[in-house]
Amino acid sequence: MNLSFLKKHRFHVVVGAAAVAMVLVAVVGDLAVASNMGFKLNKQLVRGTNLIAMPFRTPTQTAQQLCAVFGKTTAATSLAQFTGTAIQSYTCDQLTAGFNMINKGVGVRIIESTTAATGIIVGSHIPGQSVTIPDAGAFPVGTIVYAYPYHTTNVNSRDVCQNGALTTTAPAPLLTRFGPGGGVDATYTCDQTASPGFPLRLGEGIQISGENNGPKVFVPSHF
Amino acid sequence: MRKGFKVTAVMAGLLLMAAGSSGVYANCTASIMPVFQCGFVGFFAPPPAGAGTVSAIWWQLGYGNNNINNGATTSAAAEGTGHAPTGTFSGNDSGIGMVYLTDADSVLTQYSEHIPDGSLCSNFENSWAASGIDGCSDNPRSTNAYDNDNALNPYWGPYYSYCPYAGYPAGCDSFYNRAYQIDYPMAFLVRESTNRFFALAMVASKQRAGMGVDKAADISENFYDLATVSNGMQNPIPDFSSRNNFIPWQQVPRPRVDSVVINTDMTRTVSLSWTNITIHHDNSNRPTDNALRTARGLGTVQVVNGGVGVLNQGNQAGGLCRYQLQSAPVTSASPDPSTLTWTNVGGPILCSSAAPGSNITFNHTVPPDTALRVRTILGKQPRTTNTLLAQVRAGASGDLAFEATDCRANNCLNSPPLMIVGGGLVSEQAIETVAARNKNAVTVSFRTTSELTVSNIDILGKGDAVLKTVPCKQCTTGIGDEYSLVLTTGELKGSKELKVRLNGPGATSGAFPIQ
Repeated sequence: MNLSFLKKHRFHVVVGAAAVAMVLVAVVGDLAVASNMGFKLNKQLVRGTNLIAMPFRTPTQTAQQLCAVFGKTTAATSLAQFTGTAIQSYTCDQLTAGFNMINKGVGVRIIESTTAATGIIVGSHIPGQSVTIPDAGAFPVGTIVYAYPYHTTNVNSRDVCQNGALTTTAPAPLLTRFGPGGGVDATYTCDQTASPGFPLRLGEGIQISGENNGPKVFVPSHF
Repeated sequence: MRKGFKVTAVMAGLLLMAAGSSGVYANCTASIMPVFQCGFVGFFAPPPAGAGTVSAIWWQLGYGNNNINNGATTSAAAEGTGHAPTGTFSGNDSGIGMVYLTDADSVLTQYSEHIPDGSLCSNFENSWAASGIDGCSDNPRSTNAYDNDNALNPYWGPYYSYCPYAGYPAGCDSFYNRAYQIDYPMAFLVRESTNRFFALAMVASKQRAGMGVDKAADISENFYDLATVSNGMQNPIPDFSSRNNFIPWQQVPRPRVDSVVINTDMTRTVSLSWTNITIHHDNSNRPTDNALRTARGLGTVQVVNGGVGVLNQGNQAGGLCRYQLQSAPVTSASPDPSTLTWTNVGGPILCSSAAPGSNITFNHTVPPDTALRVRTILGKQPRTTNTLLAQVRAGASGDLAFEATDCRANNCLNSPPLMIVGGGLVSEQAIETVAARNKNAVTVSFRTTSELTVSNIDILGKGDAVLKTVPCKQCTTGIGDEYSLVLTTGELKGSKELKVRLNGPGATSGAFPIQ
């Protein structure tokens, strides 16, 4: 092996190797949060309806594991994942793993009917990963909980519409945000182009339905 | 914090949620109402030997209509009433949606060594909000907005409550009441394509957590849990052996002939019987406070028979199952049932007229060359033929066209099994031949279409060697009958497939494999 190349360019080689290692760590294992895309969030689960934005890459892979994140073990906590064509349901007192989390831009609806809780959600982003907003149909077809990246450049609901190139003429898709009170606290339709709509909040998903020109496939923008 | 205030806050929150999320209504859009089983360690038994492709449907008792399946959406006010689209009684049932059955082994891996191979269960895919489902099991029984609560049978609610406000009148400090016990149970029916077997479960919404007035604190939307069945077989998993929620398959009722008299005019007077089915259920008794509802002027839409448990509903006139005997003239031993001209023999016979598993009996005189069958009609008997919204929303118009086989009319393609009363036109054959291996023996079962000249019956093995001879049951009466016998491994003499020969007419069945 000719070592002269290494000696001449050793600084670049070291930096390059470190970068490759970081990417490998991020890609190979779900538990890894070594890349600069990794994070850890102390997420609140309020009583009522919660839309949880799961990281694109996370060790939480099943409904049962998500219950464990929040320490929930009773039927008072119910989970639902909207696939765009169907609904997958789970309650935290079950002995099966439940549905597999889609992640990668798809959040989970959790209805907590008794006691609020907190849980640590960890994960990382997948740069370049696309997300699909499904074509509208009879519920639950066309409904999805969109989990935007934790370091999204989108600031408000209008940004989401623009990022996804969602329909901006009526009938336009409906974006719904659930608030800390456990109920709907803001809605927006993408044809309200003059208004920025509601601000996005870290760790939350937003329910999107009624995209009549779908499916819309896009890569969420992020820092 | 006073309990009354807590409940008030919870209730206000829920009402806000319901109001806020009600922008788009279809079928259970504001709630999901899942149908679980696997996760609570319950399952259906493996299909019997000889069974065909398995499929499932469901409906809500009193609200089912299997004659109209459209998966249509409806208005917000009509969600859960059984009308969708507005003005059409499509029922609250699985409609055109897919009902998933999951291999129990694959999702309960920690118990797989105890779960019989082929056991099936309802997992996370099934819910009343799924695509293609007709209606929603959350019943707004009146036009009062508070009845549209997006929760299955809660024990709280303001409109019919004893307390209009927490602490008013003085000393009234609980929203607990049973006036919102208004959502009927559901039936889950599993069938197979040979139309010989089915499995059935009926359950109310899952029992709310807590005891007594504390049940009002359970404000979850709730769900159905088929693992709450309590009169099935013992759960084979040792940790759950105290539960009888292992739901067995049953034979689709088929008339047997217990005795026959050949009359001078050559008609046959036959004493028929068939085994009464068992409705597997959760033994639920969920009283509704009808008096409270009546006091608020809603007497005409009270819950029938005082409650929304399976036992409550089963006590209604007509029960939860009925039989209809039918007859039709035939010209061959294996007629296509959909082409026959069927006539009802007598009126419906209630399943509740005999104990589950015992015999239902019926005497009837028929000419030779006649087919008989029993239609097993499941669900409630409609209280009215009117399908206007006012009747449908009260659960008075269902259930329509749910049977042990997918037979919805006389000319149905999936007929229940026939029993042939033979004559000159009917050939004598062995049909429905099955050989099922069980440890060191093989159980052979078959049916004869008709026995007019049969002396005895041979079971043939390799090279058509006679493995066993059994006596005929009907022999010369013209009636067909059922047979089941056991061959030991030694008696098989290396045979991989078998035939049945009716000695007398000499008719030999096709070869059938040992499974």
